[in-house]
Amino acid sequence: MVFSGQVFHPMASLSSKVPVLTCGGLAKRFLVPGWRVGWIFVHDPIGVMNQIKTGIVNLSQLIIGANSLIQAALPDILATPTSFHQDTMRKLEENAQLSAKLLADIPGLTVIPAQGAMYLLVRFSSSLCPLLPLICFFS
Amino acid sequence: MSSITNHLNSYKANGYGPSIGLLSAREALATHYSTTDAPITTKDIFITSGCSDALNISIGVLANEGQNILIPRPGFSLYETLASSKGIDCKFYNLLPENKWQADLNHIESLIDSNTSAILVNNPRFLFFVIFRILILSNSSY
Repeated sequence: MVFSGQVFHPMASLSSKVPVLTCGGLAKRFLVPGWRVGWIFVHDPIGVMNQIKTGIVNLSQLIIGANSLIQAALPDILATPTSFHQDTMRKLEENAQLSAKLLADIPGLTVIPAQGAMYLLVRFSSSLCPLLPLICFFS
Repeated sequence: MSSITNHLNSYKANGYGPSIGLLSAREALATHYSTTDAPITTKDIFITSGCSDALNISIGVLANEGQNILIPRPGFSLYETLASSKGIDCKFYNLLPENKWQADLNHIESLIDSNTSAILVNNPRFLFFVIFRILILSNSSY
């Protein structure tokens, strides 16, 4: 999920030797965090991950897997038109820009722009509030 | 939604499936996400109960108690929670806000020791190009 002007590069596509486990799920991209379906992709360019794969199978047996109904529908869910995702990203980006604009006017706060996230990180300058220790702000 | 309703009404999607996920679901993921640079088949795909479960299994399978993993700072608090619950140490590598949150590669290099088993990378917020002789764990859920 990236904002306009950015290009997503899967981590696995950047590695020709180092194994990569990629964790993902339906939650954020399809806006269904409660449906509880995610995945691990094992990128194993030099064939050293067989024991890891066995370990993943073993650990998956602790809770015997994900939601059966959503798994059955997964082929159709993945076929969701790209317009849905484009629309979602457009709204997220608009909200991020609006939030950044509003926060920028508050003394002591510095907004750090995001390139594709559902949150915004803001730097708080404690020097502008000497009577309020930083720990007090967060507690 | 209609697909879910159809499967619900079929009464055929209610039972336990393979713990690593239905074959039809894994086939769909392989078709959807496989690329020329990073091809995957159903043998490379494991379905989990949400991405949190994927992270939990991945951290658990990559590191033993007493080993460490590198995680980004700032970062999702769940990474440390999952690792700590298994007795796996966390070493935090800096992200650089002045450089679009790119990973501080020198800092990463300085943190790696003989007990380091994996580096966790949050993608796409951060770019990460340095390759080490250890595993990379990528969280692409955001």
